[in-house]
Amino acid sequence: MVREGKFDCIIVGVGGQGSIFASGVLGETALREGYAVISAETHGMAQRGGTVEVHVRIGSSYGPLIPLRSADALVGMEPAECLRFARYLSPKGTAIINTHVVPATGRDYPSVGDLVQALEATSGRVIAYDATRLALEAGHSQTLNVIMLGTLAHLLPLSTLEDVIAEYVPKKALEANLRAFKLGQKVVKA
Amino acid sequence: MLRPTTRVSHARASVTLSGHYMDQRFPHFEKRPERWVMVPTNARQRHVELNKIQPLLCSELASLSRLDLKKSQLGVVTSGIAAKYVEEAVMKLQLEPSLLRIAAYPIDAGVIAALVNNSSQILVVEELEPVIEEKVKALAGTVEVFGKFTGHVPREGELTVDVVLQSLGEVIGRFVTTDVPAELIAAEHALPSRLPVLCAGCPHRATFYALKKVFRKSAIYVGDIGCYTLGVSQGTIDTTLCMGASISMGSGFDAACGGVKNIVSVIGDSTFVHTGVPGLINAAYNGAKMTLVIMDNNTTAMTGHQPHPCTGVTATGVCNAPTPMEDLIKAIGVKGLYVVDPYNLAETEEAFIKAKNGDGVQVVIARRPCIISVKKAGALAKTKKRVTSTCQNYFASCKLCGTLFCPSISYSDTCALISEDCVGCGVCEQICEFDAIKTA
Repeated sequence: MVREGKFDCIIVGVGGQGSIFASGVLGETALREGYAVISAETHGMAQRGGTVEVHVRIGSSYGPLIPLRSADALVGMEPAECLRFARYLSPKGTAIINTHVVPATGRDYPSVGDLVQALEATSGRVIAYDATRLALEAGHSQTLNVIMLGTLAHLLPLSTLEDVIAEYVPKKALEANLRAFKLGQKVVKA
Repeated sequence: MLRPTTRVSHARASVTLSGHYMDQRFPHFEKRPERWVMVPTNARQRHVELNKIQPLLCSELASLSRLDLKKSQLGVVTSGIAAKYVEEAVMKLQLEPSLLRIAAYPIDAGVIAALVNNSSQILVVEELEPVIEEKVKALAGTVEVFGKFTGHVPREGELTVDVVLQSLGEVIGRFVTTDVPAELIAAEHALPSRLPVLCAGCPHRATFYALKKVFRKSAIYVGDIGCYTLGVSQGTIDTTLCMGASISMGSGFDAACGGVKNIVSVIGDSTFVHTGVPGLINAAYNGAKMTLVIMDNNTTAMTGHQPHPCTGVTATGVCNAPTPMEDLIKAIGVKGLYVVDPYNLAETEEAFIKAKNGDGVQVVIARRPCIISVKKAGALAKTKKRVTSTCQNYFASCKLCGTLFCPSISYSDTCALISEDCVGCGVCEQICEFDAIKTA
């Protein structure tokens, strides 16, 4: 049975931050809760520090690519990467942005404040916070993706995301990831 | 014929299995030389047969294509992933064109004729080259056909819903535009780029450093396909074409400009056993003068660490005796063979100097496991060394370690900094002329 709720989400970050893992867990949860799911990822040698872009469409009968200015949510694990794909976010959509910078090459890195401001001027809601610091608080920098999923959770038409995360993360990292999910949720509750 | 496109290859979706995949099959081979032995007499006859079955194939495959005829002047022909973009675009435009989704080649003329007879304009939306469009044009008669040939659909790059919206808009003269706000475009343009780099601790980085030092900028570095293609940033990859081309093109470069230029071919261990061996036999036998560097990290790193014959693990994950790389290369008859640990720069440079001065084909195997494999095996913690930098103000103009393009080394205005993701390979310590970087 396929449910009718629709949710288009873009998850972006730097290779190694766990964007693809996050999208996989999100997709799997939606699938188990009865939604049709389709996703597509663009990763030029992602494991080698490049940009990673994942489109996840829940409850969609169309193709995997989300059209411009129409995503319900944009999850940016890194501020510059978040802005790189901000054009996909709907004017009513929510941006969840990690303010912790991963240095890049070429031009000077813009001020994170300016990046957040550009998002605020063009989207419905911006949730900006240092998710990397929260991940370290949870016990490991690699829980960053689960922190961000925790914050995303309140927007989703899904109820079992935490259970699927618990099932998918390595056993030895389970506690840290559950703490991370709760910390991520608290960002919007506070 | 399957036509995989970027988006089909990089998408995941929920699918319903039909059950056919579980059909039990019994191996069977019928001896029919006239069918399977393609000597000229048989091949000529098979060509007749091949042409004969085309109409049959067409009509059989036609049932897989889907034609939805609507009371509309406009017909859209599409296929594969592009069909999904068309569906979404016509929904956004609140348009109801007749829609023909081509599922397989060769394309049945009947199904196209049915659409042509119902339309006065046809737009063809397909990825890659306009294969369907050519067929439709040939059958369209006086009906107008729009697509890649007319510039309504871009010939290069990937299709998206927004691209298809534009194409449809140009045909019907009505647009659903999505304006990206100017401030977003401005912010986007100001962003720094993020190019992939070799991992911190990647043995290839050290090999490239030594290679450049010995063979200098003037050598022709003939590359191949793998993580080591990223050696382009260190100036040690000049060409990348297809798998195995490093060696075969290398011997070609030698034939063309050997004696004037040093030729260095760079290939990974996996690519070498996959497609490098015949090229090496050819180069050695025909007397090319070149150096071949096999960057042996004991895996196929770029595509996700698949095993290969020199790893001792088969394609299905079973252990087997590895193909002995050195024995294989010696048997080919190269003039020199050296095996080095790239983390040891002095040893690696020495081997490159010998190879440069040697005769014929010289092979250097730079061997050390992929750093990702080491981390996955949990073996890093045991050997990890702590690297510290005491690099100070006046060293800032040096930046020799910057030529390594290591993601763990960054620069403030005053000094080189080692970040926490450093794995302690110690290569930067070996090259620092001021002894400012120390491993412990």
